[in-house]
Amino acid sequence: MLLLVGVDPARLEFFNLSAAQGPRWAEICTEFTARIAEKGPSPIWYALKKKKETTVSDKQAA
Amino acid sequence: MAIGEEKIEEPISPEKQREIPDDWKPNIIAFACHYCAFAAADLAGVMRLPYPPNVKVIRLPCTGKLDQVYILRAFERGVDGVFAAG
Amino acid sequence: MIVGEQKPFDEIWDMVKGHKQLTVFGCNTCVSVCHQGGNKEAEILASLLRMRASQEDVEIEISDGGIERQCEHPFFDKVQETLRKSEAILSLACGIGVQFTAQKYMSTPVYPALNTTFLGDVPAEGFFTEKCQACGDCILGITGGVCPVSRCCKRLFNGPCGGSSDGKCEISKDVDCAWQLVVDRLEALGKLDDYEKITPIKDWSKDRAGGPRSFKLEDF
Repeated sequence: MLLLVGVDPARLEFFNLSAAQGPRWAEICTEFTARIAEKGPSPIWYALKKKKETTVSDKQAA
Repeated sequence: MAIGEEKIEEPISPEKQREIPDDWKPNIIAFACHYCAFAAADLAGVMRLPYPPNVKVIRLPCTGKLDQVYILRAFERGVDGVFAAG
Repeated sequence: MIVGEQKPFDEIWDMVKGHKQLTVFGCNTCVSVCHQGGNKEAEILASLLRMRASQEDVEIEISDGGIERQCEHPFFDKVQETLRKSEAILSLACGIGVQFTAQKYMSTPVYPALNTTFLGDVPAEGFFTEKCQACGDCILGITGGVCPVSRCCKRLFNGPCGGSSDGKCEISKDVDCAWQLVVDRLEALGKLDDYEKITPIKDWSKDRAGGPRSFKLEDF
């Protein structure tokens, strides 16, 4: 479904862990952050940023 | 390629390679079950384990409460990654 | 139940992208059973469309909503205001719902998000098969409860054609021969004699051949 709008499904992941797996939680967070950092911002982030920039410049122009 | 050797295709990402702005930091949403993953996150905190601050945790009563729409809404608002744990 | 399938995302996007405001409108009865047109699917589709819009830099305000049935007036009461204010409506109902909505709001464009495919059942989870053509003159009583009008590719009324082999239809090995099913069922019922009876020519005027059909209760 994400593919339809040009978002890489690798940006979404599911993990299984129990309440006792504190270290695993830290591990998952580190791993996943590294993966996303490598992929860069989401295409929607770029789009929203561009939009924000144009609204700001519009306001300045006015 | 030898016979019987399995060819695994790398999934192709639909995203274009773009320049990453300097001030960008990954923005990640984690959906966590109150009774397992959230408790695990809590434990990680108690154990003083370091983990990246980019992950924002949303506590659900159970990951069964997680809805496709929640995930889509996150992406819609420009979040860079989403994971669910439970 | 009416079964529908969501149109390809690009096709939907091309239909609606010219508008400034759009309401994605679900129908929570038949088409929600096949997870194609319910209020939940409307929410998802609206979200996907918003993502596409922001990426293509198109200014379009997309909201979502839905009712239990888009083919009856009373259900529309609570959404009257929202729909009246909408510039365009993307309906996730079957063809009936889309037409009903369009008729209610004469000056608002209503687009179909679904292809209405057939009248069917749910033999297994997530699986839907065609069972009825609404031909208007039911013969299930003499065919052992198996409909040759919708399940025989040739709509034969007096036994199978020569293409039936091993209980399968000649068009595909995945399609059961309807007449094999009729015979199996009649045999189980001990009514194989019925199979020998010649079915008279069917009155197709009760089908679409007689024009659009309607039905009115006398008390109303």
